Amino acid sequence: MMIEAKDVSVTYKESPKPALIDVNLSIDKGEFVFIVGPSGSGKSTFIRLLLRELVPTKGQVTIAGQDIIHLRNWKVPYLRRNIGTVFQDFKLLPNKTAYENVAYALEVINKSKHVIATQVPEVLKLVGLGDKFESYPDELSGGEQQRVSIARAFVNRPPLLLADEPTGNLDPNTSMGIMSILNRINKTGTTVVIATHDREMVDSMRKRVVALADGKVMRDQMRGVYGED
Amino acid sequence: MYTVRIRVYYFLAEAYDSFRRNWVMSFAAVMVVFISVLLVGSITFLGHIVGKITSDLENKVEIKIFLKDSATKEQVQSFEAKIKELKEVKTVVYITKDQALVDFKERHKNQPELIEQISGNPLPASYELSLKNPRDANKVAGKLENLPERKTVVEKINYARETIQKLFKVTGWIRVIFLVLITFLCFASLALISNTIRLAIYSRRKEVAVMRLVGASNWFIRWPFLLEGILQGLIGAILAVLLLLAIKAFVLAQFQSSVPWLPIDINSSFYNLLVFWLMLAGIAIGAAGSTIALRRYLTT
Repeated sequence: MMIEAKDVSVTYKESPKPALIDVNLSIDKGEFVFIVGPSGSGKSTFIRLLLRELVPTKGQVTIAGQDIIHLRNWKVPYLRRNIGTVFQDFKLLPNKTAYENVAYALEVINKSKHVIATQVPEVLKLVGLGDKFESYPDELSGGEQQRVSIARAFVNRPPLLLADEPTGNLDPNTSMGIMSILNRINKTGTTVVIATHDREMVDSMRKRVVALADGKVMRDQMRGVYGED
Repeated sequence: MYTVRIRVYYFLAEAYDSFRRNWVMSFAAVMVVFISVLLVGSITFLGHIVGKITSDLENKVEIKIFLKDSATKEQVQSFEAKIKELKEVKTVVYITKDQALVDFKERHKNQPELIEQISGNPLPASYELSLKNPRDANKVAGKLENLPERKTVVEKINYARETIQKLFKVTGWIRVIFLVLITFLCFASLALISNTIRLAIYSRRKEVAVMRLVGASNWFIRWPFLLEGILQGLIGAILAVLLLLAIKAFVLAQFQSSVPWLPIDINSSFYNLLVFWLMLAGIAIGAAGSTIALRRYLTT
């Protein structure tokens, strides 16, 4: 099992209404899962939970068998090295080139220059940016920036890749491109979890769909569709 | 060892790089450290000079004992032995009647009519006592008044009692004022500097967020900021110290030559000590400022 959440509830300090209520969810190794639902349904909270950016008020979360709730703070960076993350706003460093942005993820975990020099070009080619190594983020289109961020998330070959609204800022055509890259990454054995409210995308992919509403799991369907909001 | 060396180089390169890239913020931080250190340094300079002048004034406090012409040599000698025994007394200078006359004539050489009026030598012999601690003037005078020789040997004991008390009141206040001023300035500088650094790091919080996202350990994130902070603090402090040196060499020297009777100068040993502490303060402020400012972004 890659991800296992048991009776997980999350309440933010700022609001009395819980963001997640008694969520039970298991995701197997190598799965491709959409978490869908309207804004405020708890999708992002679930992603942040897996990144250990917050701890649940109650319940248990394990990733690859490891309890991440009771993880010591100084171990959290090591958890994150095994999780690739992609966000709606790309989160690229504006003063580094595409190449440097991807290389940065390897520098941080102390990989050698040799490893960096072989893996970074490879993964940039994989996402279709073989000719944009030296471009800075503001010289790239939204779709290209998202490809850089996917390359950065995947360059370390993490067993798990999380994406929070990866196509939120992109037009439908570009979105399709991004999805097919994520699909290709999934084919290499990486578990992919995508939080989205991109109906068209979910319906066209026919993957497992977990629908959240008001912090509860409403539906969990293999080869599912977006369904009703 | 090999990886450690690579790391150090990497961190230094990152620190230098971001210093260059964020040069507006870096410049602001350097300037704030520069101005703060300069202010604290100049006030300390001023305090040092004022301290020297006041202690110079205080050391001029002395007790003068005029002797009776009728006192015998033996009486005077035993009296001298007694005043030399007083533990508060630093030096005792005996001025003979002849010497007193010579001094008097020297002092009034511009008023020959005054000197002409003197026949013989009406001036008494005297002792001039300087004290280890000028604040003991009252006590010593009291002791002298109670000696048995007060009636036989001593004509008059002179010391500027009121003036001394006023002087000590004033010098005491001056010291307190400077201490308060320096403390206040130190705190103001600290607040200013930590604010500037906080602003600099706030402008790069996205960078920190990305670092955490890709699994950078807290120390990996902290080092470049720490080194950058130290670099900024050090540069600011060096600039300020250089300017202080210029002030000492040119401005103070100029003042000194126009008022030679006042001790307007900074001892080299004091200056060196000050430089040491100011540099250390610059480095410490830079390091502490960036660490504290980063803390809220590294809560995991």
